[in-house]
Amino acid sequence: MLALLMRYRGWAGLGAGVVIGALATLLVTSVVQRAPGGLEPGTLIILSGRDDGLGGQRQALVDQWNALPGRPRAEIVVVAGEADAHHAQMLGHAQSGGADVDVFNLDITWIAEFAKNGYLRPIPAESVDTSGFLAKPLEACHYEGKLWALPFNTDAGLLFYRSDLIPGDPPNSWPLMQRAIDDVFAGPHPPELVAGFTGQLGDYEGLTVNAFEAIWAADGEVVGSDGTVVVDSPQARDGLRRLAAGLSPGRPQQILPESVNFNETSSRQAFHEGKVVFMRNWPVSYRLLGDPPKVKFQTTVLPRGSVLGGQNLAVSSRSDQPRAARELIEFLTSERSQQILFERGGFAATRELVYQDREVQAKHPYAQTLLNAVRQARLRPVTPHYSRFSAEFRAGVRYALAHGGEMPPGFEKRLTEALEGRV
Amino acid sequence: MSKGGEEPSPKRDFFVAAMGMTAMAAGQLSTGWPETALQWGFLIGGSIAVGLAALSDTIEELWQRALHLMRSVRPLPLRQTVLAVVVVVLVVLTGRLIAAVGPPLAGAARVELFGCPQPVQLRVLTTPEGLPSARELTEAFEARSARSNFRCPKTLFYVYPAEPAKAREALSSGWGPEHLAALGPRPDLWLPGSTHFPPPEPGDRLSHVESVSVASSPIVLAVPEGLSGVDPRELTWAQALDNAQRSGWDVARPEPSGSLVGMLATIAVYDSLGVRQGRPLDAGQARGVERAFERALDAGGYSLSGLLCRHAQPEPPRSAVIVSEQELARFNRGMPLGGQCAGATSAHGRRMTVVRPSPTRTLDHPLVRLQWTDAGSEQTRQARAFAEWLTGPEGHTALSNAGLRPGGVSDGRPTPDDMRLVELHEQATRPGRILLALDTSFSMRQPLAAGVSRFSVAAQGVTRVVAMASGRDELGLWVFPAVGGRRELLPVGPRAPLPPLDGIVPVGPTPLYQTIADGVRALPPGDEAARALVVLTDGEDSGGGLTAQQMLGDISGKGVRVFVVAVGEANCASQALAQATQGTGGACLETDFAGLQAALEQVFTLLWKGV
Repeated sequence: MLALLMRYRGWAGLGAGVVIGALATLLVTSVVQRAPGGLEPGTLIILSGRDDGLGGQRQALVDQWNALPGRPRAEIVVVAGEADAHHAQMLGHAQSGGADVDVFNLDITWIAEFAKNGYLRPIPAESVDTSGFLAKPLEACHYEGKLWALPFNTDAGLLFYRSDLIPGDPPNSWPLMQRAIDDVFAGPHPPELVAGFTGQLGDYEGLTVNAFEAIWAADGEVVGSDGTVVVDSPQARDGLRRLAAGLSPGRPQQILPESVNFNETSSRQAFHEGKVVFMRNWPVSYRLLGDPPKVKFQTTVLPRGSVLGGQNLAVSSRSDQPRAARELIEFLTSERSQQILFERGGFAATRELVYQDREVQAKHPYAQTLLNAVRQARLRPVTPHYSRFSAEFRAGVRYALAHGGEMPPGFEKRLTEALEGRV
Repeated sequence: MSKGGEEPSPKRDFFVAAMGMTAMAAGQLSTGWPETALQWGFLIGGSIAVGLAALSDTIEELWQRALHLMRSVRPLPLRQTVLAVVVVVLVVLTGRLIAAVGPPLAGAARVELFGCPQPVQLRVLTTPEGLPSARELTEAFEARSARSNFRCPKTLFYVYPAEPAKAREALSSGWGPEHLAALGPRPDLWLPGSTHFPPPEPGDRLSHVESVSVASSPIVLAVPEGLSGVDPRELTWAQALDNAQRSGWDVARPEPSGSLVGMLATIAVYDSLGVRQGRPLDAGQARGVERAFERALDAGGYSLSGLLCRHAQPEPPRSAVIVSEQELARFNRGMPLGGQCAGATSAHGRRMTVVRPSPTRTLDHPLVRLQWTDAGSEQTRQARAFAEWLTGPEGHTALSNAGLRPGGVSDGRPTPDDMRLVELHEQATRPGRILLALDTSFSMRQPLAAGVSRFSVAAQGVTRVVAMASGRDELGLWVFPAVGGRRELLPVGPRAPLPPLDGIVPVGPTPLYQTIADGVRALPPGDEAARALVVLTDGEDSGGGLTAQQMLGDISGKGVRVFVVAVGEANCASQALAQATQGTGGACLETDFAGLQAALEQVFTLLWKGV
C-alpha cells in the first residue's frame, strides 16, 4: 500500500490538498455566514419599476434597512415606463453581465426567463422559511423545482360592481352576470349607464390577462398543467365568443365597445363615470375611485378565478454581494415589511397573516375579497419565452374578437411554438 | 498504422492522426471561418474524431484492403501514395459536407428539443413622432433574423419614445439612474429623426458612437383633396405660399418650439422668401409670415403640434398643412401616426395631395449605435447587424414601407445660417398670455416621500416653468379651490414675481370644471397674443356646481387653448378633459409626480413665445 502511495505521491498529494482545501473553505464560509458582519460591503442596488403605491413605502422600507446597524447601504434604482420598459432594462443589464445590480424586482411572468438563462442566484429551500407566504405567489417564485425569488407583492383581478344597481349577492358566473345586466337595463337606470361590463382589452398584457380570465370563466384552458396548449376546445372558444358577442352591438350592450382600447386607467374612468355595471380591474382601483367614490360599488371575486399578478425580488447571479442581497430581500418580504407595504402603501401583501390585521382591513375594506381572489388565482403559462407567447396569444384573441369569437387557423400550433420562442 | 509487414510506430501513428485531423479541419475551414459555438464544436470535435479514428484497427484493415484492390498499381510506394492522396481528398470533402450540413441540423435539433435560445435584448429609443415606424422596422428585422435561424428570433426589441433634446442630454451624461427614472431604459440604438440632435460624444460610460443617415424625408405641403388652385409646377416655398393666398386657403405650420418639422419648415420658408427678395427677411416681414401661420392654426382648430390628424376628424379645415413627406405618406395609406397624432386613424379613406416645393429642408434620420463600456458582446453584434441590415436592400424595403426615402442624405443638418432664421422666428412669433390654474384640493396634501407632498412637487414645477417666461409673455396664476377666499394669486399680466407658494396648505374639493370655464373667460381676445389656460390637477371635479356639458359649452369657440396636466387620480381618459383639450386645440398630458416637471416644461415650451 505504501509503495503504491509512494509511486503516485504526486497524485496523492494533489488529492489530499483538494480535500483539505475544500473542507477549510466550507468551514470558513459557514462560519462567516453566521456572523452578521459577514455581509459584503458596498451599495446594494435594487432595479425596479416605479413605486405605484401610496407615500413611497418601498423607499421607506429601504430607509429602514439603511438605518439598521451593520447593513450595507441599499438603493432603489427606478426605471420609468410600463412593465415592458422595466423588463427591457433588466434583461439588457443581465445580458451584459454587469455586476452593479444586486436585486431585480421581477414581474412574476419573468422569473422563468431570468432563471433559465442563469441571471439569478437560486435560493436553497432549506436556507429560508417560506411558510408564511401565500401559496400561489410563492409557487410563482419557483422554476424547474428551485426557488429563485421571494414574493414582494401580489395581485389578483377583482370584479367591481355597482352596489346601487345590483342588490343582494353579486353574480358568480358569466351567464348570471349577463342576466344581471339584462335585469338592470330592463328597469329604470341612470342615463349615463350604457353597457354591462368593461375590462382591459387594449393590445398589451391587459388583453392577455382579460382573455385568459374569459376563457377560464367558460371552463376552458389555454395551456394545460403539463405545458401543452389546449386552447382549441369548445369551452375556450365559448369564452372568446362571449367576449366577441358582448362587444358587438346589442340590447342591452353587454360589453362597452371602447374596451378594446382600454387599459387599467381608462376602464376605471369609464366605471367612475357611471357607464358600466361591472368592471374587471386590479384592487388598486378601489382607492383610485375616490373617497367617497362617485359611484357606489363593491368588489367580489371573478367567476372562475383571476390571473395572478405581482412582483418578486430575486438576487442577481452577477452580484458581488450575494449574502447581503439575500438578507435584503428577506427583510423586504418579512411580515413587518409586508404589513407596512399593504397598510400604508396599498400593495397586496404576500403573507397570509397581514390580511388578518385590523388596521389593514380598516384601511382596505377589500382585503378579505382580495385574499380569496389570490387564493383562487391562476398562473399564466410559465415559459422563458413569455413575452413572445403573450404577443402571439393576443394576436389570436384580436382575430377572434374581430371574427365573432373564431380562433385563427393554426392557433394552437402557433402558441405551442411561441412557448418555445419561435415566431 | 502498419503497412503490410512493417512495424507500427508511434511516429507513424502520430503522423497519420495529424494528417486526418488536418484534412478534416481544412475541409471544414474551406467553407468559412466558424462563427457560432456549433460550428466550432463541429470543427474541433470532427477533427479530433477523425484523428482518433485514423488510429483504429478497422481503418487499418480498410487501408490494407484498399491497397490490395489497387495491386495493379506498382510499385508499392506509389500505390501507397496514390491511396493516401485519395483518402486525404475524401476526408477534406467530407469535412466540407459536415461543415455545411452539421451545424444547421444540430441547431434545428436543439430548437426542437429545448426551444429557442434566449434572444438578445436591444433597446431602441426614438422620438414620439417616429415611434410607429421604428416599431415596424424592428419587427421586420426580427422576422428576418428568425427566418435564417430556425424561426428563433435573435433579438428582442423594446422601442420607446423620448424628446430628442432630453435624450441627447441623458446620453451625453452617461444615462445614469436619474435618467433611467426620468426617461426609461438605457438605449442601445437611437433614432432621433435628424442630426439637428447630434450624436453624443463618447465618454466614461459610452465607449463608441456610430451615426449614419439611413433615410430621409423632405418637408412638403399637404393639401386636402377639396381645395382648388393647386399649382402642379415645381414651385419654391415663397411661390407655393403666394399660390395658396391667391386661391384663398391658409397654410398651417406646427410650432417650431415643439416640432422639428415646424422648425425645418420655418427655415425653408424664411430662406425662400429671403432669396426671392434678394436679402434676408427683416423682423417686420417675419412677423407678417408668422401672423399668417398663426391665423391658420387658430382658424383651423389645430393643436400646436401634430396637425395632420385634424384632417382625419369630421369637418376638417379647408387649409393646407406643412408636414414631412413620411407623415403624409402614412396618412394617405391609413398607417398609424405618432406624437400628438398617436391613436388617430385616417378617416374614411381621406387623402391629401402632396406639393413638393423646392428647395426644401429634409429630416435626415440618422441611426445612432451606442456602444456602452459595459455592453455585452452579443448586444453589440446584434446592434451592428441591425445597422447593417437597415442600410442593405431589405432594410431599404422596410424603410420605404414606413414612408421614408431609404438611403440617407448628408446635408440634412441645419446650418448656422439656418439657425439664425430660427432666431428671427423666435423674435417674430406672438407672445403667450397664459393663465395657470393649480390644484390646491385636499388630496394635494398627500405625501409622496418623506417630507415631500404632492403640492410641494407641483409648486416646485410651477416655479421652474414660470422662470422660463420671457419679457414679452404674460402670465397669471390661480389656485382652486380658493385659498383663504382668494383664487387669483397673480393677475394675468406682464412677468411679475410669483407670490410664495410654500405657505399654502391644500384643503377642500376640486371645482375643476368651474375653474376651466372661469379661466377661459379671464382670457378675453384683444390682441395677437396666443391665449392658453394650463390646468394642473390631481383629481376629479367636485364641489363646483358646473356640469361637464356646461363647461364644454362655455369654453368652445373662445380662442383659448386648454391644456391639462393630469397627475395622481386625474387622467386623460376622462371624456370631459379629453373634449375640453382636443376641442380647443390644446392637449391633455398624463404623468406621475416624477414626470411632472418634464410635462409642465413640454406644455410651456409650446406656449412661451417671446424672447
